[in-house]
Amino acid sequence: MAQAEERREKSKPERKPRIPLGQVIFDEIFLWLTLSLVISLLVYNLWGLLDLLRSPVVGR
Amino acid sequence: MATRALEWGRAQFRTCSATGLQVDLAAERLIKANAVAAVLFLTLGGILALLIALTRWQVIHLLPADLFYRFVTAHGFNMLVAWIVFFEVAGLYLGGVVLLNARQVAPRLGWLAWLLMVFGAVLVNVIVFLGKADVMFTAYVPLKADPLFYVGYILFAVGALIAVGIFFASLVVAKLEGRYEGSVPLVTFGLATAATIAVYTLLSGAITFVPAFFWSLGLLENYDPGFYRNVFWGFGHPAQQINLAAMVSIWYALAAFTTGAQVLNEKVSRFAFILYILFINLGAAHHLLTDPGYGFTWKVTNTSYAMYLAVLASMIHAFTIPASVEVSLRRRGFTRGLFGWLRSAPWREPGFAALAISMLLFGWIGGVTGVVIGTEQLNMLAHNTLRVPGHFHATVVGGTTLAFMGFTYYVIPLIFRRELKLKRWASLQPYVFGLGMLLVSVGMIAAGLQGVARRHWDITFANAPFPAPIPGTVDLALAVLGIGALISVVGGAMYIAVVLASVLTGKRVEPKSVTLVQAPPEVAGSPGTENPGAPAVGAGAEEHPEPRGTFVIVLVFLMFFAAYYLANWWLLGRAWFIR
Repeated sequence: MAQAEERREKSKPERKPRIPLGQVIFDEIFLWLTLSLVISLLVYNLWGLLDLLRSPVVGR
Repeated sequence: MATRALEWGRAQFRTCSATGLQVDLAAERLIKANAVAAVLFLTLGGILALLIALTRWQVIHLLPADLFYRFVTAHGFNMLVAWIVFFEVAGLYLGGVVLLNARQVAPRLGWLAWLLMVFGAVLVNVIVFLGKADVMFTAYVPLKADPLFYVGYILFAVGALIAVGIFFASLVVAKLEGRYEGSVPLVTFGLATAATIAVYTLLSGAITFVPAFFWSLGLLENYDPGFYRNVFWGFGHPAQQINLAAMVSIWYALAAFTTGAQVLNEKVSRFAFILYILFINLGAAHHLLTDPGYGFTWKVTNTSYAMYLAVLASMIHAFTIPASVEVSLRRRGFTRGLFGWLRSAPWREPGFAALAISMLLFGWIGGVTGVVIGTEQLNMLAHNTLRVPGHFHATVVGGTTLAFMGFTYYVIPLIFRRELKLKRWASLQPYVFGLGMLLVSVGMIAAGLQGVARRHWDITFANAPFPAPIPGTVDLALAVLGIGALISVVGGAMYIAVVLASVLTGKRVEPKSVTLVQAPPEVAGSPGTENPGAPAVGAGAEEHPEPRGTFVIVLVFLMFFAAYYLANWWLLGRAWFIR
């Protein structure tokens, strides 16, 4: 009986441990790459260049 | 069977006898080539550093003005770009291929990247030494260099971008081919952070230097200096944040190699790396804090709010790494008092010495001064003074370069498979180099606090239409800088000597252990003890140790940080004598 149960256990497909959602998100390196580019380009470059464009030009 | 090459597809592997990792021989060759190029450019940059420091040392004032500006340009490029990026690319092949037991993706493309970087770096040097690009590291428009100077930069950046692309491709292929399960190791994650920052950096470099190239040819009539400064610092400052992420990754590796430390909390450390990814590039704005073209909101958002999130990340790492070391050593039985673990740490092991001194210089000098410089109001005190190079010599040289130097000693047996020669020199070298860089940074900061300009050959401003009120005590500060530079150059020469002696004359070895001089201290008498000299204090080893000593160090650090920060506000309050 115990042997049969053991055989049944062994024949079950091995279940992979569930990866926590946080870890899945942390592992998405391309998501972070995209966010890094978007934040840097918007907050540093684009906003900065808009500030520069709004600067008054001497003599005009 | 360490020397047997295994074949998998077209890739050939060997199994590392010390780590058990399978090393693709194509990756190994690329690591070697990039590491060798890095050390050669470091040597050139180091020689220039000596000449520049002997000019900064006011009593000696060695170089004439034209050579001073020329050599500062070349020194900046070779140290901040060539040495560091070549070493980082070597790190990317190590982290993206070797640590994952993976195969090297597109090795020929890797060689093309290396060739482009070498050709670009040599071209920049040739043009600078011919006197056709005395434009300093920033090459601010309207200073115009020879078109080939910009071509050299562009080629180097393209090569580096290809190498970064190969790294990301390696991660994807390794995952698809099942070479690792779950998450990548933390060191690889840190290097992926460096590569992520590198993408933005190199794109910014392209946006900066491609128009500059056409402008230098006369094909672009006007290149707006404000636009140039914005995009240049999108390249220039994040380039140093690549160093930061790579350096922190190497800190984790060195802590594990030398003390067997395990990361306290992977989630927290990875979160800290993500803070870098999201916010650290914005710190570039602190170079533009006195620029009249930007509004207050842009300046404060980019520097104070966003940069503090990156500073938080650095503080997390700065706690986590020594705390991991402490926990590891307490588990080994070194439990006496708050700092018994620290006294028993493997201080003769070059990797541990490099780790400790690198963290000290980076955090206590570089980090603290960096936050002050990045504060909009306080920046007015420090902008364009020698305090700024004082800050980044502590971060990039005392921090990053020293960590890379320490790591090189492990790359020699593990990747070059050569015995490390001159081990005693290797043990002493981090102390010598670290002491020198401490003096260099403190000397620069002290001179900058007294008003010495960062880029001027003549700090007295002789014949200027306005007086330059530089007090006589500046000479003392600059002498400290000069003496520090001499000591650092000795430390740098020791590093080059160890590397050359090992690579050129070292016996071919298959290392059995990762450590080089002093194994992690063990509980005396425990099975597998490698260090017979370990003190017999292991009986009280703690099962769940708390990093109490590190906590106290962190509190002292925060008090030092607060004192320096508040002292600068006090100095600012005295700047205009408003009563």
